[in-house]
Amino acid sequence: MKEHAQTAVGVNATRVGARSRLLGRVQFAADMRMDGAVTVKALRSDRHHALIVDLDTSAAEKEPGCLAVFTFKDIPGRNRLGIINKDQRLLAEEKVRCVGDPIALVVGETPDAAEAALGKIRIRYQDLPAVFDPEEALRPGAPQIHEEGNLLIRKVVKRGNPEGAFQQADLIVERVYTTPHVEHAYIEPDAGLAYIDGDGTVVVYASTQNPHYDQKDVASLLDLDEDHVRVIQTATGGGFGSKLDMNVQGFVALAAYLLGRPARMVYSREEAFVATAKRHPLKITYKSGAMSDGRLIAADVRIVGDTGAYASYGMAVATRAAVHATGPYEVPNIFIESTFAYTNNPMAGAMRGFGVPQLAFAHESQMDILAGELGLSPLEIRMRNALRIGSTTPTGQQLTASVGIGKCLRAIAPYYEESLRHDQDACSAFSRRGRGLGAMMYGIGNTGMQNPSTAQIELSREGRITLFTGAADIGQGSCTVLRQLAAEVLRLPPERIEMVAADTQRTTSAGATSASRQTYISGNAVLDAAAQLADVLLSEAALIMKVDRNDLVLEDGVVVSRADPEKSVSFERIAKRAHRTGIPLKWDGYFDPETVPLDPETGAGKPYATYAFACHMVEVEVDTSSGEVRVLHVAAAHDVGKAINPDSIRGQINSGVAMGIGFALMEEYHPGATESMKDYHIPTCADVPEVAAIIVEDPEPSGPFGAKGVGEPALIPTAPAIANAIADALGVRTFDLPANLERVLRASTTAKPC
Amino acid sequence: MKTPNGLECNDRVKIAFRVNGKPMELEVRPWQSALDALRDELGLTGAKEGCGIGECGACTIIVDGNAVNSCLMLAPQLDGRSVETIEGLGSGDSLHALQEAFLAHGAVQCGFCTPGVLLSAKALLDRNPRPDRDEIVEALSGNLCRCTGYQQRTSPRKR
Amino acid sequence: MKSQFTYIRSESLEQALDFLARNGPETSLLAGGTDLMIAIRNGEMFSRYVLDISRLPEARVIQLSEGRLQIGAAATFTEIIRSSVVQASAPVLVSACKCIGSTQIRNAGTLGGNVANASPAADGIPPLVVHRARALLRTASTERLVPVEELVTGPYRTSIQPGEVLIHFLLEPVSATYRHSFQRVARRRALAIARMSVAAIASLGTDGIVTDLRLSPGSVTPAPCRMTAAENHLLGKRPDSELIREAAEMVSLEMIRQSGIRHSTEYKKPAVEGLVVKALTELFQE
Repeated sequence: MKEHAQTAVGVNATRVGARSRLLGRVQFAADMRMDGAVTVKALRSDRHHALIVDLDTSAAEKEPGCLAVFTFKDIPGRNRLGIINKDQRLLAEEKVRCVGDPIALVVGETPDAAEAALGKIRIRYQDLPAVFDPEEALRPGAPQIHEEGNLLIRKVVKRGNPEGAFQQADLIVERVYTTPHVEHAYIEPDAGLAYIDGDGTVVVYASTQNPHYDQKDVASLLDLDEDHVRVIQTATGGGFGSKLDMNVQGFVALAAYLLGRPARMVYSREEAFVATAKRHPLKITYKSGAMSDGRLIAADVRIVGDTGAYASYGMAVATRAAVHATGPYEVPNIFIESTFAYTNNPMAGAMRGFGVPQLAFAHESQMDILAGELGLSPLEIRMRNALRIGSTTPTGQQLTASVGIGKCLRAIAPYYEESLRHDQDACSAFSRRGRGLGAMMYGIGNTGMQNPSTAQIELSREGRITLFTGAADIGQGSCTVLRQLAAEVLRLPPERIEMVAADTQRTTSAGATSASRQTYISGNAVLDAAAQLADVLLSEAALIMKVDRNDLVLEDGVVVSRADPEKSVSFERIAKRAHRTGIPLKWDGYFDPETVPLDPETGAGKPYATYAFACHMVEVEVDTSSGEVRVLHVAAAHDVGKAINPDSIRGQINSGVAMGIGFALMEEYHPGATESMKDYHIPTCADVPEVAAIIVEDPEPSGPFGAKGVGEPALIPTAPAIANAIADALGVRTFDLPANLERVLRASTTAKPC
Repeated sequence: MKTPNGLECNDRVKIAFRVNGKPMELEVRPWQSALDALRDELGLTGAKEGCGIGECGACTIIVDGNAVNSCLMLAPQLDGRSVETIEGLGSGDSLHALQEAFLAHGAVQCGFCTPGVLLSAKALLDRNPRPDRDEIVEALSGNLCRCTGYQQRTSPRKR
Repeated sequence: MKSQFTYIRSESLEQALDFLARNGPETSLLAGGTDLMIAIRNGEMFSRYVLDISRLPEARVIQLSEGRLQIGAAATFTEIIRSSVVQASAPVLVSACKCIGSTQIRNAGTLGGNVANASPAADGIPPLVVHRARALLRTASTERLVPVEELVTGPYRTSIQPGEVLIHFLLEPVSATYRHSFQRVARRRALAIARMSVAAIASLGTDGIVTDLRLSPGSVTPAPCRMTAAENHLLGKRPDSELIREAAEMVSLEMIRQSGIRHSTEYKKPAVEGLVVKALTELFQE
């Protein structure tokens, strides 16, 4: 197929489902209606840490229209949930560990009836001492949140001789950085609907990023075999990591299973805020050692993370944060320690970037401080230290291909230099302008563990092709990209391939839609399946056409002879014949990236098969009288390996920049105080400038047509670049995110003179 | 039921209004929001509840030519009004020019905020067929989006 | 649980006042709904009746009348922004209304609702204060005109009595020679409540001497007011950056005098000074 120009990849194929979304016809979970459906609502803890002394549901049960009130005692199976650590309860047992912990479920004929009954539940608590700071939680005598203690994980990555290297360093910079709880704030609050189908299967429709994981935990809760639970992902209005956890799935499944009626649950925004995971707040103590030429020789990074009351993806975040602590730079001598603890704060879990956005804020701030001290330009110090082919990462992995950080930096350089020419208007009575760089690397897929994907491609008797993938498209566009990949192999317009996605009965697991992994990992699984089908098509066509198969190629739904393009046979004819002769026409694809688990002592290993790289440049205007920061320009260069769908990539980059602006300037979730969209601000279109999105393609040999991933990388460099731009404008740096009005105004009071 | 001074009052309110050009009569609860009435009584689920307090714009509809948050409007306030929802944009399976433009510019990702954004954009273009970027930003800044980063929608190239 | 109530829409003011005469204490008024709907959603609206006054013709008028700019309490922010009369005679109000919420909010929310809700952050209030606005309040049997500073008595508190309807505001219009500035700081560039704001109008004599200056901040004092000390500091003088800076300090001192030193003062003191400096600089620039 190599002689063909690519027609389905590298093009802006129409997004799967775009038309139905534009027409407002696509059904999100809250839009689904089913006859006889009942409403499920949860009673949640308003205490941080308390024993449940008494729970009286009798008055609630008598409320008109109340069908049932369920507590943990009604759960037929195991009352444990969690993607990595099974430490969550669907419904609290003896105690609650944070505000928002679910305690009881009310099922009503109508939402009003459920709501009224909810208000009639009587609960008595005995408050326990609570702890909200992870360092305090790890001290002796701290309140114990789980029986196993408050330490979730301590991960160390070390290499070389950092102590010795620091002694040789010309310059040592040590600073402490903090980042806040961040809310995912997808626009669709969580929702789902469950019912029992004709053969007794519990069917759950849900807004989710990982239906195959949901299936396992629902089956375990209900004590059912997994094949008696079917989870179907509905159209999903964004996820960003939070819809990797079980949110409504267990609740609707339990109610439907126990009552035998369809059950639906729709979170209000307030409930979505109080009940779902947040980004881990991190405290990062970062010590860098450099030589006078700017070369980094040592790093000592101590990370303390607050995973809240439950682990969720905490172990993965802790590990990924450690592995990425030095960013896209080669640092030969390192000691990195990442310690995450339980507290009585809200559960923190996966959020776009898994700890790397926080670390990038720290390592990029360090780079600019070092550059300033050494008299180097921010661009120069990054160029000098950038990873390249042959470089070794903190885990001792030697990079052999697709190390595009240098290319990203060079792509940004003209924008940076252009921005330096804007200096003449850098200062006015109320404002200062500045520019900043942010760079990053990001490992694609799960860290140092197997994380395979599977897919199937089927040719129907009528010659139609269907792609089956378990991958949940949550808006990022995985269905579109996977279909393009299959179409390229089968030489068809993508629109001619039907998609079946994220239904545990009809698709096999593609793993989670997380870790920017679906293009690379599921993409390869799709290629594997498509290649097998293509092979059969060619062999069968050779038999039908009685020609050498090497003379045949696939083209637009037919197999055609290269020697004589008049000679061809349709997929349909091949399908009919294969069906008669019993040749299978549904082929399985599989891919698991090559990784080596991290050594428990040293962290050495090969955590990822490939890495994405990026650099952003932003220009800001800081209002020195109010602390307002306006982002004026953004240029964002991303090494994606190969752009399968350039428009989708630009969409991801624009989206990441917007979320990065929020992370940098305005987003902070205060547990116990932040309630809703009224006091949690995400950027509006007025806060986001035009973005120059630059696609860099340094192909990954193991990637589908060279592709890697971009979903999380898109976000990571923006906030560091903004922080550096503010520091450039003021000559004073903020070490705590977000750089909100108060912090920036405080910094402005000591700003360098114009 | 009559109030003490004889005004009509009930725990049901009868309203008559037009939806996408069609006259409609409906009985609603006084405290029902316009959003809930459209979704639950008329099955028009294109308008979404993203926050319930007028901060996200996912529930945007057009009432008498103006984009409003239907979550901040009581259903009884629809009486006598003319309402446009996403279900009225485009006809059958064919897209309205604005929807075509969104498709061409990759302005749709998850699609949850899309109906609201389209209606805000339509209300703008009905008043001002050639808006500049600032006018587009002003008209769309009440519609939060977490997926697209906005740029695909705010560029004045688009219609 | 949502608040439950009986909905009544009055088609005439007389009908509304008559209803309120009997049921005033048990009635909440609905105009734009942007604040009331949130209270209803949260179950925090306890009135038995909700009286919809959004369509009362008397409360929707925007006109110049007997030397006053009359703005109906049920006029939406969008209607005010688009009104050429308001643009000409109270442009600072237009500037302020443009900052409110989003297009959707401005299409529904009303000036009367903004004042009656009495949020310290209400963008509509400082412009009314600098225009010496008075509110017309009516019951079936009474009528009074109250300065906006007296109508709003504190955060979320007004002197509106049960049974009273806020009909309209009467503003002192300003001539085209007046200068105006509305300054505001918020956590994002749209859809955000003001952290603080300042409305200011001024006139200068031909010699550059300040002949009139009216300054009113938002979210700075418990109830709306003018900053008379700062105003007087500049009146009769030719403003320069030093005088402006001193006036700004007088505003922050007044804030501290009225509200005390709080946790937020570290931010609000320099920030309000910044807003005042910006407003006055804009007013007095050539």
